[in-house]
Amino acid sequence: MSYLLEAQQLLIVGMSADPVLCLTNAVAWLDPFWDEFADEDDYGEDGDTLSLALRVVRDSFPDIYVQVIERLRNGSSWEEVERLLCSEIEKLGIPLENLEFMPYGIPMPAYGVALEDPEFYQSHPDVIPVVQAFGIDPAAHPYQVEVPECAHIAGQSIAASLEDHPDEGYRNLSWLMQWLFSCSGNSTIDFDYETMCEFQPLSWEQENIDFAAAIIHEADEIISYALNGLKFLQTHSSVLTALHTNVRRIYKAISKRPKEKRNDNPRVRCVWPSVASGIDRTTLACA
Amino acid sequence: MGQVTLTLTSLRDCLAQVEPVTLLGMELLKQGSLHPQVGWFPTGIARSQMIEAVTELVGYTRRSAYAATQISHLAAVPLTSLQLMEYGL
Repeated sequence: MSYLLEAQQLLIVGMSADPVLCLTNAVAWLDPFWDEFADEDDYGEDGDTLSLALRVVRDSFPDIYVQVIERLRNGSSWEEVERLLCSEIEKLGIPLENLEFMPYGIPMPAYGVALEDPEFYQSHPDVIPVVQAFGIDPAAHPYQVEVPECAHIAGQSIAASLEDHPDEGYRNLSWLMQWLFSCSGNSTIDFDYETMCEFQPLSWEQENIDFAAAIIHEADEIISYALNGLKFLQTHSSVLTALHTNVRRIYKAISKRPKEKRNDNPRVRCVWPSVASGIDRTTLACA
Repeated sequence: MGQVTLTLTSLRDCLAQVEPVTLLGMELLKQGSLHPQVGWFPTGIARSQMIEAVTELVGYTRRSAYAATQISHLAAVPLTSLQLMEYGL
């Protein structure tokens, strides 16, 4: 061993024997950014997104913080650290494409549907046969799709009635209705991007991150069920025909009501064909 | 209940008796120092142990900072029975 290495080993042993030096050394080793975050209220307001990201992972995700420290100690560049932070935060379920978005709060997806928007049908042409059951014809109105006033009431009623259906296919159809008619109760499913932008984003704190991740996880499940519901409709033409019939009956019931009561529950008994479970009648709002 | 008097000397003695804090990170450093190593810090530590050590250290730093803030906000205690002759000079 060279004299230099011997000297280093002597210093290491000496530092480890002294409690204060050992603590200092432990901080330098395991928490080198401790001084960056001395001010509790400074949450990246100076625009330093990397500092904000480091602070978030230090406070809430020690496993990611450890990876960052290890990478830096192994000579990784700051760009590599940024990419690592983004990918690890995305693994938590938060859609963070770039650290630049961090100062704006926790980014949330917006899967909400604007039935009036023609672009929605360009990206989701497979839902056109479904919305046609509600009298919505995107092809006829290329710039601003006309949506009947009672479409949302009808869609929401069907969604509520099928929510607890014993057949999984119909429950998925309920999720499809909840997505299309914005009544799932999950804001990322019910709000489109523009509506979502009107809300104050959640700040990067542990409980908010957990909350956002739970919402996003639930939304991903809902979208998956809704897409299964769409497949269910595509593969069961009798169900699609029944949807047309039931919507027509709901519209008729709504049209018979006085104008001020048209937003109330239509209370229509819908009929659905037997598919797998053998149950062929579902009651809408029997109360 | 009798009056408890705390003097500067007794306070110093009291603080001197407090055992140095033992953190996992410090233990790992001590264990590492027993073997010749290339760098300043031990290597080959399991990820789970690193995470535990970092979590503990970050928590300790936070508690220490909080304690320091609390102490800095303590109200001054007037020592009415103490005569400081040099003050007049």
